[in-house]
Amino acid sequence: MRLYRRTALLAWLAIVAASAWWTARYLAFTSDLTVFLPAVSGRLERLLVEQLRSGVASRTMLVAIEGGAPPELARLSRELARALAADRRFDYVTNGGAEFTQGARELGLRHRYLLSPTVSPERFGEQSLSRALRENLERLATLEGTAFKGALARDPTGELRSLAEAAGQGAPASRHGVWFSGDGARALLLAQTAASGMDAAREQEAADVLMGAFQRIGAGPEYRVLISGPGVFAARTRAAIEHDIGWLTGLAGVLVLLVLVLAYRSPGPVALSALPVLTGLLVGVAAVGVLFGTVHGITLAFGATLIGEAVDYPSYVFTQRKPGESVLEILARVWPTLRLAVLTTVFGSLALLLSSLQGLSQLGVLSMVGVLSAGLVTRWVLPALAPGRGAPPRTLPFSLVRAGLAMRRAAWIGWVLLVAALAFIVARHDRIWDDDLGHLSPLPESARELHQRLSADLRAPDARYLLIATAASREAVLEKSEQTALALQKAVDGGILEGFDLAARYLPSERTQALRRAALPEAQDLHRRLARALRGLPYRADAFAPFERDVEEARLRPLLTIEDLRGTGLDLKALSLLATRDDEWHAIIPLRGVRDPARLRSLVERLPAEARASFLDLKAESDRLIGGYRAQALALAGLGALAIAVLLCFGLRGVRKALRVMLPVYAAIAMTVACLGLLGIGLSLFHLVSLLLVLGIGLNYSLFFSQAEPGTDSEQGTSLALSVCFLTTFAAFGCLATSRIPVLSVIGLTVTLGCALSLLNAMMLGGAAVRAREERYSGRRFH
Amino acid sequence: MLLLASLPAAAQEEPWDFAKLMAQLAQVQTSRARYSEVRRVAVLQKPLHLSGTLLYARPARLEKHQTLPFEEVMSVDGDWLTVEREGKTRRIALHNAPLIAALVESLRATLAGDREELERLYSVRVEGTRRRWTLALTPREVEVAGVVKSIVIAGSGSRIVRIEILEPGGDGSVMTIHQEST
Repeated sequence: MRLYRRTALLAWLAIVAASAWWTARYLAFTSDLTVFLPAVSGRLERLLVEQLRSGVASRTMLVAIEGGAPPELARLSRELARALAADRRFDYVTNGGAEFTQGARELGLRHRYLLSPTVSPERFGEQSLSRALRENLERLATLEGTAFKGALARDPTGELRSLAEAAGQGAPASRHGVWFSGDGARALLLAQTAASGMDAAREQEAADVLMGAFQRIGAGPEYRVLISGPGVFAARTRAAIEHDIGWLTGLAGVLVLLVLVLAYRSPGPVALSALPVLTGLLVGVAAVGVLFGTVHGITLAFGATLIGEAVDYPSYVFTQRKPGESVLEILARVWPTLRLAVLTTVFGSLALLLSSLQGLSQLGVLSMVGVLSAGLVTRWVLPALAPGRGAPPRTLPFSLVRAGLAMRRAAWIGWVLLVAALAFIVARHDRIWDDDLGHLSPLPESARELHQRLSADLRAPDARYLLIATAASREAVLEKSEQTALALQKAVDGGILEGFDLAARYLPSERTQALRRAALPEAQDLHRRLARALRGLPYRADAFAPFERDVEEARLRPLLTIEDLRGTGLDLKALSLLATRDDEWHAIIPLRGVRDPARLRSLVERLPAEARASFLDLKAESDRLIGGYRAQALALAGLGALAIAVLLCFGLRGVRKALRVMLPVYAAIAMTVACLGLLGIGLSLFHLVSLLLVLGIGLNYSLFFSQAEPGTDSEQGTSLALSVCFLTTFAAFGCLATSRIPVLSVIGLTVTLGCALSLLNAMMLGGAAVRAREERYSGRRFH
Repeated sequence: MLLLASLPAAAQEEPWDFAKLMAQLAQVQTSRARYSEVRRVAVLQKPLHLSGTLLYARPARLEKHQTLPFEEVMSVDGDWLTVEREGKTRRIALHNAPLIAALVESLRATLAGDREELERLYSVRVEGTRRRWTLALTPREVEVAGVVKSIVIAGSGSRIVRIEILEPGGDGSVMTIHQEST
């Protein structure tokens, strides 16, 4: 006995110490939400997930300053942009102001003959030149003439104007030289964070830096800075979840403690009750760390709730203590059933474990290892730590077992409810799921409205539709996207969409550049044509010498490369619109103001092979991915249920007994699903995870209930055990259900509802030892 | 200041300043005038000659009907500039076009007697007397200053007689205004 105690304690201490050491030494926590995005195999899907994770759209912060008159807003915008541009947490910042666009303007002037889409051999023919010069003459007499005159001698063919028009197409309104909302109420900025938009912690840091910078630029108290964007959302979501989990866990902890103190009336068992679950959490986290390298913050938060079931394990032991019994003696009676309770949950975790969604797979490992460890601690460590013969717990003034017997007379109500629930589910089977993750977003409506307003002000690309052209090399994909762009421009002119962006706009393909360069005439030719074109016009003979000089220089200069774009901000823009994976290059073509997605899709899909691009509907794609994952999770859950059924058949030595244990729980799950449906709540992944927890906890209720024999000591013990276990679960998940964060309240509501129905069903439909004789040997097999 | 040199030793009559000038101009409800403009442009052999009529109506409407060398109607109302030429109409939002806005306001805000708007866009200097004043405007915004060095408006009472625009490269224009009615 002493040897056993020492061995169990030493093994436990060694494992806990090793887990603690490993966790402290190596474990990295991540807040990257994409582990909860499906790991997909299709090449566009992977690109899509990558775009969601770290694409330029995901890293863009939309910033607005409001609260005063435009001149002061413009000043604040300049100061803030300067401060952020100097911070390494931001890759790129712009407010449309001259200092941020000067590089791009100089580049445009210098390389206009390679960049301008209107450059062609005809443009430099005598007739075109003559026409251009006449038009310029008229323009000189207009108000705009003053502005355009400066470039006339260098650029009579108007290439700069072509470039400015292309650039201005998607530009926000501006006042006092910086971007503003159309009504002048808000100065606008765009900031690209260095961190991925899904990296909630670093996005929060970037948002804090931005707020801090705004404090320091001397804005009056009436001025406010507003920020929005995927990264900001990720940060807010995390903060909200952490906040709620923090105080709800505290509240739930106090309530659970209260229940335990009331039940045991002594501190010993209460303190020991925490041991299995804490050990399970520590070992589980270490296991996830060893297997996955990192542990997601959400895995930890949800995992802690998932293995909350383990709080019940000591309860099943301590509540069943008969007067003068030692823990080991209680276990001798209870362990066969408890072991089944632990193993059913372990088998249930299989469903999560095998998921292709890394986040859920982590949850599965945490839950499986955690529950198993908690079970082992309950079996071997608790008796070693508390070898004494404790006082029996409080006796209840009522018996759940007797109540159950009474309720069995009303079992028909249970059956009717079950049939109704199943009928409801069958009738609604096509509408029972909700794959739109947006519905679980913890963001208030106002945040979404702000985002829409700022996106519209900044003329940000459509968050939903996007084109992707794919080819074997960067050059090839630039060429292809240029062809796509020609068709898209027609769609823009036809009103199908407002506009689009393109890497090739900033860095045309070498082929296109070479064609444009080849369109430039040799110096003598150009001089001759120009001289003829100038005949009869009132220009000075040498007025366009700068033009001739520029063309000659452009003709001899090498083609534009990404190096030339460096420092102008255009390199970042071009690169953000290009992606490479597995020897393939993709040109991402963000769209703006898509008015007719169906027509655009068919137009893009009918393009010839050399111009074809894939039309992506991000929302539909993400819904499809989630739906696909959900189908997989459902299949795995079925597999888990089957494994549990087989386990119970063996454990209880009989199919009928196993069925009698499972029936109340599956009935409870069906009723829960129907209840949620009646409440108008569509089922998501999070409901599925919660239902797995209900399965684990509900099976425990059902198992222990089926073991209780009326009129014996086990009646009182089981009654107390189930009361304590249900009350602790109800306290913990009831708290969670009150959260204003949809994900948390979904889990709380589902588990609370499911467990309450499980208990009721176990009493009403389960076999509460009605045939006590028959089940005398039940659960002995594993003993 | 060529213009000032041609003025008689004036300041005897009464003290004259920006506030008074603006107050006086603010009395005018509508005005209509013919104008002729000479625009010097470096790339041209000789200056351009333009002419037409100007119309101002309080508070924010300004129209410029150019008849020579070609027909063009430019009208500004509030924040929008509309240009009609050869049957085609273009609309430009002034807050999106700082340079054009500055040029438009040099005339419109002066006619309106809009002190704030003028001072927002230009640093302002007034010289002369009520009968013969000049208002010199120097652009505040860098983008505008790169294209317009200064604008000198000369007038008498609540009438504008002449607007001279000086540009950095030596180009510029002089607009002479012949009042029809006040």
